[in-house]
This record gives sequence, structure tokens and C-alpha cells, in this order.
Amino acid sequence: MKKISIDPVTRLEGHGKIDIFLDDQGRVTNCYFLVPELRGFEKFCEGRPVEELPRILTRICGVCPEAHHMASAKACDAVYHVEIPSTAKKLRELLYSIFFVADHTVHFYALGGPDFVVGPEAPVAERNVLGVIRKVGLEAGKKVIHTRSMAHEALTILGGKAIHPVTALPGGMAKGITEEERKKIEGYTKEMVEFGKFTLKVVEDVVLANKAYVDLILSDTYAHKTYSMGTVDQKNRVNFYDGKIRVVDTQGKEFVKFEAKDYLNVLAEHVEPWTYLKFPYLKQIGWKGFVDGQESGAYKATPLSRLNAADGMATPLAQAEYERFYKTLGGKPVHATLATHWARVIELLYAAERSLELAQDLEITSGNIRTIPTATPDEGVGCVEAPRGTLYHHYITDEKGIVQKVNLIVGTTNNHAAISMSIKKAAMGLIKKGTTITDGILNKIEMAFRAYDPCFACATHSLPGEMPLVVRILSPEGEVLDQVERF
Amino acid sequence: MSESERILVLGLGNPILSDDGVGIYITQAASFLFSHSQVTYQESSLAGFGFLDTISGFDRIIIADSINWQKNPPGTVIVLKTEDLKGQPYLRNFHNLSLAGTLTLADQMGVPRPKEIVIFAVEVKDCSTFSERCTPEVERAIPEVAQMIVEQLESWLGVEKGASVVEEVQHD
Repeated sequence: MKKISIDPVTRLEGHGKIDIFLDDQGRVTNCYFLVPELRGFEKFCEGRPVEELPRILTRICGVCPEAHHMASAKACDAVYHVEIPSTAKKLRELLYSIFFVADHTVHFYALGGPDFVVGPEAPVAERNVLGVIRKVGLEAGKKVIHTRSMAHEALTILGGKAIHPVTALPGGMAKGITEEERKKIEGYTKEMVEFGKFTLKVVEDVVLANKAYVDLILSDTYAHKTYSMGTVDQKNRVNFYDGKIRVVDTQGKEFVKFEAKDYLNVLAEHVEPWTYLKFPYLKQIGWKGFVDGQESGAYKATPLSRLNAADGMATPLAQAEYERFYKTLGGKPVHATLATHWARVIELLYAAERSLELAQDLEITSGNIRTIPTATPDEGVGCVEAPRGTLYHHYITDEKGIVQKVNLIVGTTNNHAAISMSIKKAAMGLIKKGTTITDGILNKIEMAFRAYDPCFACATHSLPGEMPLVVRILSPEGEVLDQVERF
Repeated sequence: MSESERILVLGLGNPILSDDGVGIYITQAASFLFSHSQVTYQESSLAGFGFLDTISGFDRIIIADSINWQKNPPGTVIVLKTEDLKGQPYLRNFHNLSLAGTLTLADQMGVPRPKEIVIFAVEVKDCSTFSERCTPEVERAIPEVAQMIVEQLESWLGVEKGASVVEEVQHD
């Protein structure tokens, strides 16, 4: 058996990688997607006062501290059985929606977008954010930087700190905003809505206008029929901060809708011997291995899944785009993994519109931002939609609020089985007997998992920051027969 | 340097992952030793674009970070300067934009960024166990590097050695 390794850049020893196994004929037999193991998390949390967790768990991830901050604060609210005031909820959702604008912006322009805007076969040196800027114009680059900068400032006001937010705490928020700050944020969010519209125009002009790209998006190589998960409001519209979690089947029919606290009734986790990262699946269907379809409990929780799991968007411009999305791609649900990029941009517009609504809400400057918890703490689950999927924080404490047990299911973990399947399918479709592994092929395999925006930044940040991407072909004995380096 | 220039001392790393937090502990230690109106201390666990947001607008930066070269014994201090940073903004699969890549990106996009950069990095031993303390070998480097940062600041600001030492420090 031969082995191909796609070894993504990381700052860590024991980094994430993709191993593709070939048989003696050069055909793909299996793929393994591996991520680094971090040790001792439960132990680290146990014995701490639970109210420390919203502050400290923001450190789990260098990319989405806001998501962990919110899920953690909501779990603490549940632990203390406290209803937070309406203004506190709006402040949290405002913070969270602005964070979504910033995060989805980076993904589209810097991480996922280059494949489409510059092209999947473009040389690696051009297939990056600068290539995107060259293609769509320097003005676009300035808009990206400006949007990030506005979000950074708004998040500093709302989160109380430049980088890792600290303001959400059990019972509500530690600080509110003044009228002056509200006006500033309102101005920013107006610009963000325009930026969302602009980005959808980029999708239309550069991606949808190119038939080859649309064919690539809809090709079988990148399709998986799975269940879709996402949080919805009372009218079954997408919501990132709060609501019930809805799962629809491969036909788009509601399979289950549940409250966060009941997640263990719906989800179970499968364990494989080759990775420490678990594979969540729908308990009622069961784990059937790395297969898709109506009979497999594997599901996805991505921007695309959120759109599939909902009946629409709660803001007008995003709703119009939602309708266009399904009309263009042949109706609901959509199972084309690469369409996730487009879905993400529709979410970006929704997040911007929702931020503007909240910034214009008269109640947002009210001083009623916290209900002091008085009940005896015990157990609680907090859940939000992180950019990469549904995020669950589950805490159990003693009667003094000291943490006894913690369980997390993070965004990317939901998609672990689906990512593994997508890579395998893409590899099988692209690598045949006698195929020479080129940079383009390698990138097209990477595209299968890049669509999920998988994030392991919760690993560490040690220098040196870059390592070459290497594809190795090994003999059954482990001898390196061929090696392709990305740069 | 002129009085309008702003200096950022940035501690990078994750303070809940053992040695990965060393840059943050060093920055905290340096802030106890030296204070000046032109100097801002900040810490960050952010990668890539988040990093760009943080450094934009400063004229000079000192970065304290961990390094995982595995070429030296844990606790070894490595100093890197602007000219040592070479790289292209290749954006990889994950959210991993290197420091060099971030700076190149800033230049090409016309984003104001520090012109002078000094990095103090400490070779690590364990960055994958959740803990708020470094391993003993790495922990021993913290006061030494904090002092190196103070000397760099004194040199840039042209202040006398020890002139801006924080006299009374209250520790929790």
C-alpha cells in the first residue's frame, strides 16, 4: 500500500494532516484526517468557579474567542437558572453578529475565496488574498481591511477588551453601551451591510458568472447527502445566538428540533482508534461508518447546513439572497459542499443586517443589563452557532458553583465525519491509477475540506508559523517514492 | 525616535497551554518593570488577520512569543529582527497566516504597520497540555527576556537605564 500525506502548515509538532492511502495500483483506498491532541482540558477546568469559564475559555481558540465566550456565558446562565434581561441579550447578539461579519469576511477573501476568485488551478503563490485583490481590485482590499477594522473597534466597545471579550457573564453583561457608542456602532454596521452586498456581487460576478466554477460546485466530486443542523428562531429562521437546534434530513424534512439542554438525547459521539477527536452523530439513526445518505447518522453543521435547516433568513436582503441561492442551485436542500462558500456570504449579509437592527434598537442603551443569579448552581448547557458549526458548552458544578465536569462539542467537530468523507470522495475522484500528483490536484483535494473552514487554531501559536506542505508517496514498506512540496 | 512614535509590546501565545503562554508571561513581567507614555503592552492569542488588526498603527513593535524549532534546549532565547523575517503571504488551509506573511500582506495592501520589529522567542518544551504555567525550563527564561525587552525599550526611547522603572508594583 502506498501512502500520500497532505501536511498542512501548522505551528505545532503533531500537527493536523491528511493521510491518503493508495493501493499498489495507485488508487485511493482510504483517507484519514488527523488533528493534534491537546491534553488535560477537563482537568484544567475542574475545580474552578464556573463564572471564570466565559473569560478563560475564550483562550481555547485564536480565531473565534467570541463564540466560546457566548456559549460559555449561556451555559453559566443555565447553571445558575437565570434569565438575562432583554438588553443584555441584545448586546450579546450585537457583539456576536459583528464578530460573524469579521470572521466570514476573512474566510471568503483569504481562505476559501481564492480557489474561486483566482481559480483552483492557479499557482499557489497567487492563490491567496492578494490574488483575490488583484482580480477584484485594490478597492475591494481596502474594503476588507476597513470592515475588519470597524469590527475590531466595535468588538472592543462591546466586549470590553481589545481582543478577548470579557463582558458576558452569568446573568447578563458586565457593561452596557452609551448613546455615543451606539451611534458609532450604528455607523459601522451600516457600512457592513454595504460590504455584505458588495461581497455578494463579487460572488455573482466572479463565481456564478463562470460556468466552469458553477459546474465544479455542483459536481459529484464535492457532493454529500447528509442531515443538516442549525439554530433557528421561533419562525425557523437562521439565528446565530439563540433559538432551538433544528436538524433536517437529506430531503430537507424536519427530523428533530430540540433545546440545547437536550443535546445528549439527540447526539452521541463515535470514537475511532486513529484519532482523539470524536465523531458526533445522530443517536436515533446511529453511527453507520463514513457513509452519507438518509440511513447514516453523520450530519453537517456549516453555513450551508444552517440555510438547509432553516426556512429562511430573518432580514430582508439576506432573505432575498437565500431565495436566489436555492433557485440557482435547484431547490432545497443543497448538498454541494462547495456551495458552503456562497452560503457563508449570505450569512455575512444577514449578520450585518442583524447588527444594524440591534444597533438601532432603542433598548440597546438601557442600563438593565444583568440579573444577579440567586439560585443554587448545578448544571447547564449553552449553545450558539459558531461560524464553523453549532457549539455546545456543557458544565456541571457543585452547589458552590465549582466546576465538576465540562463537555464541549465545537463547530468543526460536528463536521468531522463529513470532512473525512468529503476528502476521501474528492481524492478518489481526482487520483486514479497512474495519476501524477500536481499542485492543482492537491489543491482540489484541499478544497473539499477548506469549504468547511475547519479550524484548529485552538491549538497553539508558537513560531515558526510556516512549514512546507508536503505530499509524500510511500511504498507499502514506508519508503518515500515521491515527494511534492508546495513551496 | 520622535515623541509621536508609538511602541507596542505584544505578548503572543495561549496562556492556558503550558509553554505556549510564555510570550504573555514575559510581556506581563516587562510591564511591571518599565512604563512609558509611548509604550503599550498587549497580549493576544489571535492568529492571522486578528494579528494584523492588532499591530496596525504602531511604529515599532516588540513581540514576545514561543518558538517550536526543536533545535535548542527548552528555555533558549532567540532574538529575531525585521530583516530575519522573510516570507510570502501564502494563506494556508487553516487560519494560519505567518508573522512574515502578515507583514507582507500589510505592505501590499497599504496598511500602516510597524517598520521596526524585534522578536524575543523562547524555545518550548510542551505546548499541548492545558495549564496556566510553563514547564520549569521555560519559566526560568521569563525574567531574563523581560529584562531584554526593557533594555530594547530604553535603547529606542533614548532613556537612561532604569529611568522609567515602575517603582511600586502591586501583585495580586
